[in-house]
Amino acid sequence: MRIDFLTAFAFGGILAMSPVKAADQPCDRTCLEGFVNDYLAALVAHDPKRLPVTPNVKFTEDDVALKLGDALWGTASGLGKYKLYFADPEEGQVGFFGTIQENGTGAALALRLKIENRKIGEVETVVVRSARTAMLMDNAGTPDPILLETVPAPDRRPRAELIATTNQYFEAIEQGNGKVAPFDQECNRFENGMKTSGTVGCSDQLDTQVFNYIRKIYPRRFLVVDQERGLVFGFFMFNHPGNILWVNVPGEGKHDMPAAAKRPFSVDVAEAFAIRNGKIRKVEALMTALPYGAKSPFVPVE
Amino acid sequence: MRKCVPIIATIALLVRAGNGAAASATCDRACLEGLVNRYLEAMLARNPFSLPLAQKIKFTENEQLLKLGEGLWLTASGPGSYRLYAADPQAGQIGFLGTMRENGTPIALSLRLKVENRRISEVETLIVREADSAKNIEAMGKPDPVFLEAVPAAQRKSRDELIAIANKYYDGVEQSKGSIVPFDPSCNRVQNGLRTTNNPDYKMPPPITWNPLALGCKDQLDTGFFSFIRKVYPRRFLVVDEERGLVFGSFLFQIPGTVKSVDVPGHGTMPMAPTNLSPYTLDVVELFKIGSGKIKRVEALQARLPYGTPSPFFGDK
Repeated sequence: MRIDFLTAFAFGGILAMSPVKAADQPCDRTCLEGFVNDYLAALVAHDPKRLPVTPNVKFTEDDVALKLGDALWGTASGLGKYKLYFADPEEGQVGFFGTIQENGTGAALALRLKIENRKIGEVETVVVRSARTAMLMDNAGTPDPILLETVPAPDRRPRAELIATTNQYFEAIEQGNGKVAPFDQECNRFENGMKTSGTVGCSDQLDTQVFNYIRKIYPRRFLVVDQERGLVFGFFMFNHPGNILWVNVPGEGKHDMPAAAKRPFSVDVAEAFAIRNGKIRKVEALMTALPYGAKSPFVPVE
Repeated sequence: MRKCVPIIATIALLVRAGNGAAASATCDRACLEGLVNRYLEAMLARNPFSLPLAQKIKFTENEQLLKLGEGLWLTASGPGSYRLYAADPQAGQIGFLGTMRENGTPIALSLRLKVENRRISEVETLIVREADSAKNIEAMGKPDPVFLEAVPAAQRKSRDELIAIANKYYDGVEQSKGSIVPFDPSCNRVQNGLRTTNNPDYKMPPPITWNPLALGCKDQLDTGFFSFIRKVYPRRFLVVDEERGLVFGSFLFQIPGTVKSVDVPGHGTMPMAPTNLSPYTLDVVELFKIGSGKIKRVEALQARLPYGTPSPFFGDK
């Protein structure tokens, strides 16, 4: 009896201990992607209660703090085909771009989850309510393979370097100077499903000054660093005061800004960068316009 | 010499008291409207410092806290032709609905100023950046004269009564029940320059095959057409113009996007407009004309914001 009791106690102890141990283990790529998939399944089922969340889970949609279960949780009606993940096991962060259905209409979703002890502590979303964007992404089917390939271990760059390289992209936009950022010659950029780096490519396009109406990209939040794949994912607030009415395009002369750029607005840009050999090879973004000066509830008040 | 000191001191005191009296004197209708006009001129001159500002000033544009000088201050390019004011000298508040030009494009704006000791301490603005709205508003010409008429002194309602009547309107919207709102039979509503009541010629966008805008204020609510608006909160009644029977405020319409259709008596099950099948908050600045205890006119400017956007003024005393 005594042995049985001890044995039972020991087994009970192991059973009781095992979830704790599991919770303590780092959440690897598979685990992080699993959280995204569970989140999407719960979203479409309109049932946030099935998710493991921390007591103070923080949820935002388009930079408004809401209760988990509000907004897209009430309207998501299905999942689309496109799925792209960015995993950062070291920081317990995972990013995602994908397509969804909202009351039967296509939309795109940028999602970030912060995982703490195998529970969701932060949910940050940007919803692009554009059927065209969803269609373009779904027509592409699978993500650009460059965003999925593993960088050979000897070629991997430190986290700080990946972030610094990405940061130069935003410096280059603010300065209207492509040479400020280390672009790979093959670099291209897709925004809301559309290729926007044109025929001239990432670097030369910035030199045309056509992005000068973007006066300030702040805050720049580099949140997910996927070292294994050489990816950086974050949220970046593009601020457009609307007071740049024209630019001087080298070789072309005065170029009037479109009416849409001649008014104040901010754009929340969820953006992913593939860095290869220290250079920006690919940029993919989902973005939505917000009132000028909109602030992320994840950024402390200054 | 000893006699001189008190005389000088007395003069100094009188001068100081005089200044103080002017500053603390109530800012009446003309004073409040003058501040709105100065504000619009200062915007066009890009010079916020030409205004009498309180030491601490709070400024919002479309529910975002900004520095005075940002937002429309950098893009306003010309005056508009439409100006409608509601003045509340007792509370030191003034509301305004009007039009302007932003880098040449027509825009509509609502403005609320809070004035303390003749200095501006709060500026709340909502900008409607749809050129059609401003064009439609300007096409109306002058404001409906009903908004400008003084209510005979004997018929004036108290501030609390005026607010309670306007508040019933939002209860009526939330409950889709026109009968709980004291509407005058002559009631009409204009939203972003579009008359949205008693407008039989309006063509609704597909897939909507009936025209709820043909109905009057009360009957329209009864159809359930507004049931996609689940909640109107917060409701901030900010300017009460007792003399003219006006209430002006800011109201956040919460639209979760979950109401897909409505059963309309006589029409059957009608789909909601696709635009209301996504969550959003509609920021509505609304002006009510109340006469004999009934709502005679509603005029609103409204702009779409991300769902759940809070007002930075909500919760302030």
